[in-house]
Amino acid sequence: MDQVTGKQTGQIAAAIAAATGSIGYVRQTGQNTHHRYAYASDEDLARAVNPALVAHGLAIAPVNMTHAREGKSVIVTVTWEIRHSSGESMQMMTIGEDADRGDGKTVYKCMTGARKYLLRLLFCIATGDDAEQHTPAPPAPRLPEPVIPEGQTAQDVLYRMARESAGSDTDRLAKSIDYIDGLTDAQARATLARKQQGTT
Amino acid sequence: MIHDWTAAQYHAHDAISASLLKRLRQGAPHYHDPRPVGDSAHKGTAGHALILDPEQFNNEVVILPDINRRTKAGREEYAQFMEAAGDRAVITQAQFDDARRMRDAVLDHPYAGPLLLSARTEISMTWGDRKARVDAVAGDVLVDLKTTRDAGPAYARSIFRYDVHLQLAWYADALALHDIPTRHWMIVAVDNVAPFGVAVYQLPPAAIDAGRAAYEGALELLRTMGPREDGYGPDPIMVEVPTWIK
Repeated sequence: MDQVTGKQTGQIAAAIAAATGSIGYVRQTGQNTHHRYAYASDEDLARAVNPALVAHGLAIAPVNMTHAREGKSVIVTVTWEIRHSSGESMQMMTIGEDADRGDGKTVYKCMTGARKYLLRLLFCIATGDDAEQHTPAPPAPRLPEPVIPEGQTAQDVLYRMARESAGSDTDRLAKSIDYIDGLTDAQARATLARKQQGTT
Repeated sequence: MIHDWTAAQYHAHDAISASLLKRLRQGAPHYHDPRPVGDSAHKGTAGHALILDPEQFNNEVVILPDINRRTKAGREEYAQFMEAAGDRAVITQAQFDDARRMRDAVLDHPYAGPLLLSARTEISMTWGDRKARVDAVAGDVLVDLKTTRDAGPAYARSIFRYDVHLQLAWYADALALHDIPTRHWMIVAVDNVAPFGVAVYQLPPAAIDAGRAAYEGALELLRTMGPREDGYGPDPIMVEVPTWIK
């Protein structure tokens, strides 16, 4: 959502294009300790972008900010002005959103988020941490195959194991038989495979 | 700490859980006086046990025999039965049949079946004053099983409406604390009535982040809440116009 101010934009556009070319991909160093995944932090972006701004005569400043609250969510809308040493300038608006945790930092976190997205959008920066991006679902696991003697079923083998395990404890055997009776064939095969692998 | 607990042992442990925080977010009355467990929840318990922990089925669920409660003898038989049932969920034969159809539908599903059959199930954890009991973890996939009236595409909205994202964030963080990191967060939803359809929903990281913010907010509420309040508070509640209607 950009709004160009002034008629001349050739020089600022060229400077942004040159900066985009020099920034490239931003390596992720931020760590989400809960889920142990990496993300591009504000510092990662600043480290990559600031030299390009200096080199190409660009400066960025917030010129307006509004915020709104929806339940626990705070949404901050920031208008940024991108100025070029030639005198040309343009404006862009980005949004930052965060949940209010009552720590008094929510608006600042929103502004940081808005700035990160400004830089990512303005300089087409790929970081590989799009918040909406799904990690592709892993394929359905392949179930291990149990070893079943010919002519028997997984349940037959489980009954035999239950008898051996229960010994003279008839109550325990009765409970085991009830349990095995209630299994589907797929459950019996999976249970038997786990028992044979020693993972149950 | 990870415990080899039955559902009853887990529920008997007094600690902050995802379900307590969900109730708190519904309002103080739900926190103080949880709604009694209804018939469909009992059916859900039966479905859960049959799918995730069949060995414990008889310890968690009992099937009500056909008793004529219009006679005095029948009423006595029923009272004795209910006393013997104790804390177990009592279901009818028809509900048991539905639970078995749920189980068959889930285990026959080409994705949900292998996922749950290969998973470590019913993992009870405690840390500090908190607890969690996770339905299933297969590799780095966290799975929560939901039995619901409609598991179809409309269920996606229920995930946020009923704070399921809060629950999954709580579980994911509990697992991470116990060195079981997860990278995929899935809900296996199954109709608890015909046609017993099954759908698998995958949550993006943003949903887990939102769930975490929700549970942190609820924990803060728990820390700061005053003495018991009846109702939803004395003051008028300002209604905000949601963005989608503007």
